[in-house]
Amino acid sequence: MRARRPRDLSELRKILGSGKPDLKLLAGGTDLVVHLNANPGEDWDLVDLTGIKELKRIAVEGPFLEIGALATFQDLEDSQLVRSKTACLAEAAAMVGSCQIRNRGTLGGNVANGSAAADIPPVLCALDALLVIESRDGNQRTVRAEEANPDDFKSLAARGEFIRKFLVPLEERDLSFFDKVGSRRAVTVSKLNLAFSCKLQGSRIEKPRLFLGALAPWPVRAVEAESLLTSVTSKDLAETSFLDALSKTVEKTIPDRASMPYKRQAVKGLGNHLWANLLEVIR
Amino acid sequence: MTKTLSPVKEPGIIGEKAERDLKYVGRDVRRVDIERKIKGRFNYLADLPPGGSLHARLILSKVANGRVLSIDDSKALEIPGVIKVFTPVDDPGVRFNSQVSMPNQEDFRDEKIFTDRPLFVGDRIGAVLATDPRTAQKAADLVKVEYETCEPVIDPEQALSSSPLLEGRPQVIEGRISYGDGEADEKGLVAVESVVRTPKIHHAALENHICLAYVDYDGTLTVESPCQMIFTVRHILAQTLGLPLNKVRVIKAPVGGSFGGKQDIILEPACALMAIETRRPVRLAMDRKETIIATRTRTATIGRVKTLARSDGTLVFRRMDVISDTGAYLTGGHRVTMAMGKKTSRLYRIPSQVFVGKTTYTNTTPSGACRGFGSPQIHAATEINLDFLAKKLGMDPALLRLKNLVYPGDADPTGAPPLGNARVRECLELGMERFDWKRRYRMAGGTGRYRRGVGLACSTHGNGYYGTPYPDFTGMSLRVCEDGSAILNAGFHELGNGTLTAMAQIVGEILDIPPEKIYVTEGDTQHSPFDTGCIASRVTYVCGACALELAEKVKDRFIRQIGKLYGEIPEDIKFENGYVYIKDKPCSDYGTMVIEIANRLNEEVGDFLTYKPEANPASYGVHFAEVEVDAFTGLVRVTDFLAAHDVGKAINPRMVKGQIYGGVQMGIGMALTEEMIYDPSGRPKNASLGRYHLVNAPDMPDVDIILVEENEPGGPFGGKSIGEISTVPTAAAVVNAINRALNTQLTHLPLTPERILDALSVFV
Repeated sequence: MRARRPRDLSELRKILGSGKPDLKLLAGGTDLVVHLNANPGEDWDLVDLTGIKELKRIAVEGPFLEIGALATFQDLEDSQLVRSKTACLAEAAAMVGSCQIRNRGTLGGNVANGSAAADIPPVLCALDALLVIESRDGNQRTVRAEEANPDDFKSLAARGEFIRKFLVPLEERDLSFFDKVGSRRAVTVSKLNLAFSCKLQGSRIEKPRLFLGALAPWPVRAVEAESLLTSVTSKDLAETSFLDALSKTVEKTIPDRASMPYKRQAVKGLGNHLWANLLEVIR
Repeated sequence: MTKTLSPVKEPGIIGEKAERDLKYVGRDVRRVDIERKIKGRFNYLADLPPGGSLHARLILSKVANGRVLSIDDSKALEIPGVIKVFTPVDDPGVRFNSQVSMPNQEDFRDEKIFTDRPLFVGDRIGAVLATDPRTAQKAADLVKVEYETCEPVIDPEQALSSSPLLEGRPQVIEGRISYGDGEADEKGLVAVESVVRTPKIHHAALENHICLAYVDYDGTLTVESPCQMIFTVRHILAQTLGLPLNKVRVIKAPVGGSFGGKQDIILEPACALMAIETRRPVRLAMDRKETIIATRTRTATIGRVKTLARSDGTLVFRRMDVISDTGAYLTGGHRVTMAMGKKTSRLYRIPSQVFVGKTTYTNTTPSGACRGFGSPQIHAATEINLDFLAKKLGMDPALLRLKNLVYPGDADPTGAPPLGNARVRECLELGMERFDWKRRYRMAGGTGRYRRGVGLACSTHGNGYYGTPYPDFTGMSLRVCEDGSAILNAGFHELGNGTLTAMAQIVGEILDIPPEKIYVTEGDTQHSPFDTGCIASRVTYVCGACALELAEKVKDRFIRQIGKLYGEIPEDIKFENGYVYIKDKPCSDYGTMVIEIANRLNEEVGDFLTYKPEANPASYGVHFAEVEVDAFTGLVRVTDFLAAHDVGKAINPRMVKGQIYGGVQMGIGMALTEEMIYDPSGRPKNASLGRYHLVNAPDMPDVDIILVEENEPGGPFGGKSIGEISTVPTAAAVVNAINRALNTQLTHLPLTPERILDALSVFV
């Protein structure tokens, strides 16, 4: 096993430019190191990104909040900027794993590792964030979180690419929300999670973005529930039909999975919590 | 986060009198090992730097039921640093049972060091020995084992009627305990029948299994092991490897948690075999996955209970049919089954009872000792059943219990030792008051998303082996040193629960020496007197009583020696805080006196004592739980908890509470989240702490504690056991609370969100 630790982006680009097909990127290592320990026979060519300061930057850039791929969950939780501009991202970060995991785990790693149960992807989708992927020649491409394909992340390094940062639009949001259901209250992996954002126009809900995670490889948009929210004014909204709409998305997404009966019901718990938050802002 | 510590209940009359005179016992004396443990300077076996020994990695079976056809180790042997690959060919061919401590014990010997007939995923096929752990691990992955596979048996009910999993081994062992006139005529009585299932549980000690073995300069096999029974380890090593007992030295290594998981002898024979074979020190360590799948578990049980009662709640008859799933090997499996039965006649006055226990085998991880040794399982079965009875009778379950609980001095109707100063009624009554039981019980239920309920359960557990088929005695020597310190030499196994500190408190109290000046040894078979082991809730009651009697013996002798030196009568010689007073005048410190006695009398200040208990009283615990069930997600929070325990006398109240906090945590896990799951082919589905869910600190309620200290005759300063009983009633109390909150009759533990939502019929 080889490991290199570039100190800045130019060193990283140089390493990625070497054209080695087996390169693997190491961020916080909370998944990868566990895997390496369990499989000492595997041969890895690692590039440790944690020495690159530019990848940890959190700042407002024009209409976006820019968050470097190597920002840790703890960074997100602590950042005044993240908390004030994108509250649900800070909330989701604060609910990941244990303190030790939050100190190591990164936003970029959470996305790139491609776990279906990851907590950050649904938040990025709900906030309509952009993933900025940079290649070894410095060129950047952006992908809308909602349209990202997790398979794409598996071969990033081999293609000479890395996740540079995330851009979260700073448009006015009247509510952003995240919650999850695991096997316990803390230090738990999501069985199901839900992220939401919307704007309000009088008593109407506008531009709702509601995503469910841990159902499919990438977050699923709960279109039934969204259209219900926009179709009527808030005083006509019925919680039961909203919760049923969420259940419908679950049924539709994983009709044959053994976990479907549970998730179809548990999603109502997340929906009920979101509903309580909605009522507070709508009033 | 801070948890509220409850004040210890004021002691009763006997305790109160003693309390005034006690200096160290009954006090929160600081643990002897606490500073090194807190600072991370306490070295466990895994902290030994690599080098100085070879490192072994087990080759574990990937099939649940099969036969090894061939083993190809050529790829493994190509790796630099690999010394040898051990396979079933290297097995000495002696079958053993990992819980048998004496040759006469008849439990089936069915286990091999390295087997070619694997009976569960994780069975030991062989091992790779290498210069470092990583190389050993890498090479073990490269050993190719080809199997012929057979259909595995996973379900214990199916196992009852399956053909023997191992040739020549009966598939079911049945035991029966009964007394009274048999089943009463149901006419005019209320009958309640229930079936409670309890899961296979991983002990989840912080320290994974590990062992170190080497052959000493004089040819003695030496094994350092974080174990609970050095003399049992010695017996099994001598038996499997064909060595004389006095050429096998077992040293108890520091334990990073055991909970019974290290009571069975698992790694030691393999590790010793490799050390003897290669004449090199060998360290054999497991990672978490291996510890989960390939060591031992709490026995899974199915407990059918039928109770008959009069309409006023008086219990008339109870029948219990229990199936114990001991997994692939017997280990102490049938002992667990029978231990379950033995608890059932020591909690309530029931005129007539029948217990039938069936131990059976499945192709899953072997079961073994686990905190409570069957007690949490049988209490889950019977205490949940009692709540169903209360419901049917329309009675408050606390009052139903009060009507039937035993009294101090009651006999055990099966002929087992009497119950001693059984104070379970105080536990229940004081607990009801502190918990505001009656009001909270009435308030339970609701139809909203969050539903609250309270539940309680009573329980009993033992204090050692007296009155059972297993020997129970201990030997100790105590010596006061020339500097006034003292050494208590005994075969102790500190398991992290504070045994060494408690013993130092007892000896210190008698000799009037601060406990930190008393060194208490741990077990070493070449140098310690015999001890049965730190098991069976016997250490405080049996070993503590030995330490007390020995300290008094040494004190008497010390006084007589001083009397001889100074020509004084014993009544005029007093000890205080390490100083000798004659006729109330200071004479000299202990150390100086010890030197003088050595010089002038040619004697040492010390003695030896073999002690055997003459009773086996019951300890009691009553737990009260409040839960909040989320009817949308099925998640349960235990929101409040009270544990009331009859401990006789708390030698160290803070350590007693520590045991209770941990016991409650394990019990909540058994009720809500902990369960080892196997797929139909026998592969464990949750062999990591990421998938096997323990209850963690954020999910823990505040745990309030009442200690009932009414003095247990025979125990040191009236003390008796707490370590195991503290986890015995928990699961039943939590389940009863959930059933109260939801108006359900859930009995399949753990009550996972899926099972709860299923019961609420939302899965239609």
